[in-house]
Amino acid sequence: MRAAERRASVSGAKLFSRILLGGALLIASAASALAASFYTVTPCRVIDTRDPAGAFGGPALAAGATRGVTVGGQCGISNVAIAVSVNVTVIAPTAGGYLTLFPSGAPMPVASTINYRAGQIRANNAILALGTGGAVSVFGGQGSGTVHFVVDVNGYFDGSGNHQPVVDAGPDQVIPGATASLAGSGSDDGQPAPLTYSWTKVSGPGSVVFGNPASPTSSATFGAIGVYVLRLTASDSAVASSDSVVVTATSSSADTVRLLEQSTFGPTNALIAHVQTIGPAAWIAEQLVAPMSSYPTLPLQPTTIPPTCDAICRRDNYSMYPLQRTFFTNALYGPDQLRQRVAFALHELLVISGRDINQPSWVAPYLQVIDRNAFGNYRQLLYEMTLNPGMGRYLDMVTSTKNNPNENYAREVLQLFSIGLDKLNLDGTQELDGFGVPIPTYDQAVVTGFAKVFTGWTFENQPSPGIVNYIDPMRLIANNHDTGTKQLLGPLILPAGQTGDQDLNAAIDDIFNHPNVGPFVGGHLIRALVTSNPTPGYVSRAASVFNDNGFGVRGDLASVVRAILLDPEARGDVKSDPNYGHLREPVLFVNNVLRAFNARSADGTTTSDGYLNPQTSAMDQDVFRPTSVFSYYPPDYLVPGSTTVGGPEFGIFSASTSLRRANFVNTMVFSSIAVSTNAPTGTSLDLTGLQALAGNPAALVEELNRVLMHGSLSTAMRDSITTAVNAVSASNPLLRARQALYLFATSSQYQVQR
Amino acid sequence: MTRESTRREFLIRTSCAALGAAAVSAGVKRFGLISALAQQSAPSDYRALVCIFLNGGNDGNNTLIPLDATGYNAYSAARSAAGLAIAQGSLLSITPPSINMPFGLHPSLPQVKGLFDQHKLAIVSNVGPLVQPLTRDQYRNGVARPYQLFSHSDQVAQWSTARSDIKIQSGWGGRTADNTVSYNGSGTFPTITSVAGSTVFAIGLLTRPLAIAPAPTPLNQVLVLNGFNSSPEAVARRSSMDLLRTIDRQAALIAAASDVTQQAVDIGLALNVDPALATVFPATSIGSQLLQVAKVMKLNQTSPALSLNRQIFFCSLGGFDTHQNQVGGQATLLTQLDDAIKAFYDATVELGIESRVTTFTLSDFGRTLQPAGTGSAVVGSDHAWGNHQFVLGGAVAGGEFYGVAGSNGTVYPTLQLSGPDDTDSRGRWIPTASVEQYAATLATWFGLASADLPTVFPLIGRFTTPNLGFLP
Repeated sequence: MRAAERRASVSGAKLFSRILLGGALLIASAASALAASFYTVTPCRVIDTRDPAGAFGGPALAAGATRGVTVGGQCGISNVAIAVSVNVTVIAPTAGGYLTLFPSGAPMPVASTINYRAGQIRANNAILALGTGGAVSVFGGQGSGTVHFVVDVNGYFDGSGNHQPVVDAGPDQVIPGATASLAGSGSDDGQPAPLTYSWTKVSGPGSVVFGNPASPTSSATFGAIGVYVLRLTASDSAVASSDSVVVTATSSSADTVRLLEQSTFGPTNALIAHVQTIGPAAWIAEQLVAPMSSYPTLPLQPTTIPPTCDAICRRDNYSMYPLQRTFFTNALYGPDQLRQRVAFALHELLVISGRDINQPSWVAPYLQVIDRNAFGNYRQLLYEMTLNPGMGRYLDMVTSTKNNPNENYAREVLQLFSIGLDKLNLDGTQELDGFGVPIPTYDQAVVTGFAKVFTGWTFENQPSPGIVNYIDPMRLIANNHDTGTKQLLGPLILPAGQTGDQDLNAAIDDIFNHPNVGPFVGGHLIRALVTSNPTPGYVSRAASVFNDNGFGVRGDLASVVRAILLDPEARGDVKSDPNYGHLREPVLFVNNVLRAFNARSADGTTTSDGYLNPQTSAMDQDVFRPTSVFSYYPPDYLVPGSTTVGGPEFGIFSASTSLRRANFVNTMVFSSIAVSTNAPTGTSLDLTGLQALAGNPAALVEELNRVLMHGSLSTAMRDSITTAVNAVSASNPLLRARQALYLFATSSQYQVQR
Repeated sequence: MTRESTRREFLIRTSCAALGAAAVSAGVKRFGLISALAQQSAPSDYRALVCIFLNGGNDGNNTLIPLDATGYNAYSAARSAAGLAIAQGSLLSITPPSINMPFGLHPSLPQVKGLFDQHKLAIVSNVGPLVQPLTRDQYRNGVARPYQLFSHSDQVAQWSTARSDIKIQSGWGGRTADNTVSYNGSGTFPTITSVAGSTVFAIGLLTRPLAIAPAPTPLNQVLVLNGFNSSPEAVARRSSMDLLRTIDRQAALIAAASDVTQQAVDIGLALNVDPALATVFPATSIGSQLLQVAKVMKLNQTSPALSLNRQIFFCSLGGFDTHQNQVGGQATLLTQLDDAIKAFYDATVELGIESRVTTFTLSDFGRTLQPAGTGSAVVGSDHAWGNHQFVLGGAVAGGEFYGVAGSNGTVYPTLQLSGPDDTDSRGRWIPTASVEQYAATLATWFGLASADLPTVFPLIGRFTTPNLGFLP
C-alpha cells in the first residue's frame, strides 16, 4: 500500500468512530460493535466530471466547492451499504490542492483524501462511510481554479454483516372459498446460504393449513370464515426478513364440507378441495348447469304380468329395482349432485308410490318430470305433474269424469303439493284469526271445484293392446270434461263453457299464485336440504325469492335453491343453535357414508352397482315406494320427547331402524355388500386413506372429523374414539381405521347433519 | 262453545300439570332415564289393548249392510248402478238384539261373523270424530265440526288423538298409558309396542312407544346390534359407542337420536327369546304383525324383564283408500283382516288371556255411499266420515251393535243420499258416537280411572255418555 493510500485507509474502529462523530447514521446496527462485511463489486465509475453536466458528470469542481455524489445503489453498491471503497482520481487541476471525501451530511473532517499539484493526474484509494442518501461529498481544497475528478468504486461494507433478504408475502386477497393461492416471493444475495421460507399464521379466527409452508407460493386453507394475517419469513440462515399479507376467507374448510352435505349426496375429498378453491357461489353456479344424470325411459310392459315372466323378469319389469339402482348410482357418481338432491326433495313433496304404480316404466316418466324441472319453474312442474300419467293413476285423475268426478287429486294437489291446509305468513308461520286459530286455505266447495276442473283427462292412446301409455302426458276427452262453473281458490270462479285445457291452466295459475306456495315450497326445500327448524326469517327470505327471483319471475326454483344454500342460516363455521340441522334420512345417510370413502364394487375394481335399496328399506325408506301420498315421513313430525322442535326424519327413526343404521355401518366398515343375483358388482368402501393414518390415532380421528363432521368433533368424543382406536394394536392399521370409522358413522353426532 | 274457550280449555288440560303426581314419578322412570332393567314378578292383573288401524279409510258401507228389504234397497239404490253394491245373497247375516233386524257383513268376513255370533265381537256403528254432537241441520248451519274433515292425515290424527277441535301432538293411547303407568311398576320396558312403525296414537306426554319389526323377524332379533364379540377391540368399541350416546346432548336432535338408540339397546337386552306359539297365523302383513304382538304377550308372561300388567299394541293394515277398484281391493284386505284377527283371538286363548285382551279397529273415515267412477272393475268411493268399527275380546259384550242412537232411533245411520244423516248429497254420515266415547270406553276397561277421564279426553263431557257399554 502506498503512503498516500495508507494515510487514507481507515481501520474499522476509526470508521465507526467517524460515523459516530458524523451523527447521521445510515444503519442503526453500526452503533454496536458489529463486524461489517466487505463486498467487492466489479470496479465501476460512479462519477466523471469530464462528462457532460449531470449528477454523475460535470462540471469540474471549483476551488472551495463541495459536490455530493450518490454512491449507494450505484454500480452494484448495495443501497444499505454503510461504507465504500473508492479510487478517486484527479485530472488536470488548474492549481495545486487536495480533495476531501466525506459522508454527505456529516461535518467536513480535517483530513485529505488526495493531494496534487497543478496539471497532475493522481489517484488514491479511500474507504469512507456513506452519508445521507448513500452519498459522498467531495470538497475541492485548492486556492483557485477547478479540478476534474473521477470516483471509481470497487467494494462496499454492509453494516448488518449480511444482506437482509428481501421478502414479499404477496398482495392482500379476498377469496371466494376457503383456499387461497399465496403468491409470495423473496430475493437475497445468496449469502451465507440460499433462502429458506416459512409461512405462518399471525392471526385469524380459525386454523390455517398451508399446502407447502416452505414455499413462497403455497396454498392456504382456512378453518373458519374471516380475516387472517399470514406471514412469510425468508431466512438466509443468518438473518431473516418477513412480510405479512391479509387474506379474507369467505368460506372455510368446515363450511365447505357443510355446504357439500347440504347440496350433494355426500362430500368427497375431490369436491372438498374443488369447492374450497372456488367458493360456495361458484359451486352452486356450476351445479345449476351440470349435465343431468336422470332416468332412462323404459319400455312399457303389459299391465297383466305374463305367466312366462320369471322372478328376474318381474324384478326388472314389475318392481322398482331398476330405478332404485339408477337412483343410487346417480347419487354415488353423478355430476349433478344438487339437482339430484332437489329432485328427491320434490319427489317427497309431489308423491307417487311404486306400491301402486308398480312398473318402473310407469314411474320413470314421473321422475323425469321432476328432474328436468328441478331448476325450472314451479308452475311448469305443477302443470307437467298434473298431466303425468303416473300421477294421474296414483291419485285417480285418469278415471275422473264429469259424471263421476274424483276428488283425490284435487284435494292432494292443494293440501300436499302447493298450499297446505292453513294460511301461512311469508315466514311459514300460520296466519291466525282474531281468536288465535289457524285459517283454512280452502273448504270442501273448493275441492269440489278443482275436482271438476280435473275431469276428462286420461291416458294417451295405447301403443298396443294390454299396454298402457304411462309415458306421454294425459290427453283430454272433451265429452268427459265438466263444463259448468267451478269454484277455486281466490275466490275465483271459473266460468262455464271453458275447455279442459283452459280450465286446467286457469286452475294451475290459481294454485301457483296463492301466497302460500312460496313459504310452503321454500320451507319444504329448507327442511330437505338444511335444517328441520328454520327461523321464520330464513323461510321468509326463501319465500321472497320464490315470489320474485330478482328479475320479476315467480316460482324460479334455481334461485330459491341458491338463496337457501347461500343464506347465512345455512352458511357459517359453527352452528350453536341447539335445534339446528336435521337427522339424515336413510338415502342421505347411506350415500354420505359411501361417497366419503370412494364407494366401489365389492372387489374394488369397478363401480358399485347401486343395489342399496335393501339397506335404506330396512331403515324404513323404500326408495320410490313410500307408504302413502304423505311421503316417507310426515313433514310435521316432532323430535321425540319435544312438543315444539321439528324432526320429520324421526318419523322413521325408531328403536328398530336406529339399530339397522348401525348394522349398515357394520356391514360397510367390516365387510361389504357382496355380489349376488341382484347385485352384479356389490359395494365396498375404500379405507386405504384411513389406514395410512392409523399409525397416528390423533391424525386418523382428525381426518374423520374433517370429512364427516366438518370439524365439529367435541373433545369428549375425540377422546373416547381415540381411546378405542388405541385399544387396537398399531400392527393392525386396517382394524384401527375400522374402529374409528364405525364409531363416527354410528354416532348420533354424525346421524344429525348440522 | 266459542273457539276462545276451547283454546283455553286445551291449554289447561293438556299441560303436564294435568298428570297425577304418582303418574309423573312412575313415568319418569319409564321414560328410559334409568337403563337398568328391574326384576318384576309375573303379571297378576293383565290387560291389553290392541289397535288395528285400517289406513286409508275403510268403506263401512260395504262392510256392514242392512239386510231388511227397505234398508238393503236404500243401499242398493245408491250403489248398484255403478257396480259397487254387494249382492244381498252373498252377505253374512248377523242380527243385533238392540235393533232386532238383520245386517250383512261383507263376504270376506266369515271369522268376524263367527266371533260376533259367539258374542266375542261387537260392532260400534257410525262412530267418528266430533267436536260435539251434531245433526245434519246443525252441520249445514256451520255449528262446530272437526277440523279438516275428509283429509287423510287430519282424520288419522283425530282418531289417534281423540281431539277434533284442534290438532295436538299426543295420542289417546299414549295419554292412557301415561295415566295408568302405576300398574306397571318401575320396569323400563315400554307400555306401548308398535309393530307398524311410528304413530301419534302411541305418543304421550311421558310415554314413548317401542317400535319393532313384525314377524317373520324373530323377537330376539328385532333389536340386535351386529358386529360385537368379546375381543378387547370390540369391547373397547362398544364402550366408546355407549359413551358417545351420553355426550354432546345440547343439540336437541342429537340428544333425541341418542335416546332412541339407547332405548333400542336396552330393550334389545330384554327381548332375548323368540317365543313359540301353537296358533298358526296367516303370512300376511297384518297376520305377521299380530303374530309378533302375540309373541310379545307371551314373553311378557314369562320374562321377568317385562312382566307388565298393562300393555297397548299398535298394528296397521293399509290400502283402504279405495277411490277406485274397491270391489276387489276391499275384499282382499278384509279377508286378510278377517283371518288375522281370528288367529290372534285364538292365540289369546292359547295364552289363557282371551278375556284380558281387547282388539279394536280405527280408520281414517268411512266412505261416500255414492260411488266414485263407474264400472265394477274400477268403481270406488270417496272420503266420508262416520264409520263402523270392530271390537273383539273375551271381555267384550259381543254379538251387538253399540253407539249412540240417531234420528232413526238406532245406532245405524239412514242410508239415504241427502238424508238426515248425510253431510251433503254424497252419503257422508255424520257420526252419532264420537271417537272420544269409543276410546274412553276402551281406556276405562284398560284401567283408566274415571277421575282421570277428563285428563285423557278433555271434551268427553260434551257427549251423552263416556261409556258406550261394549266392555262392561
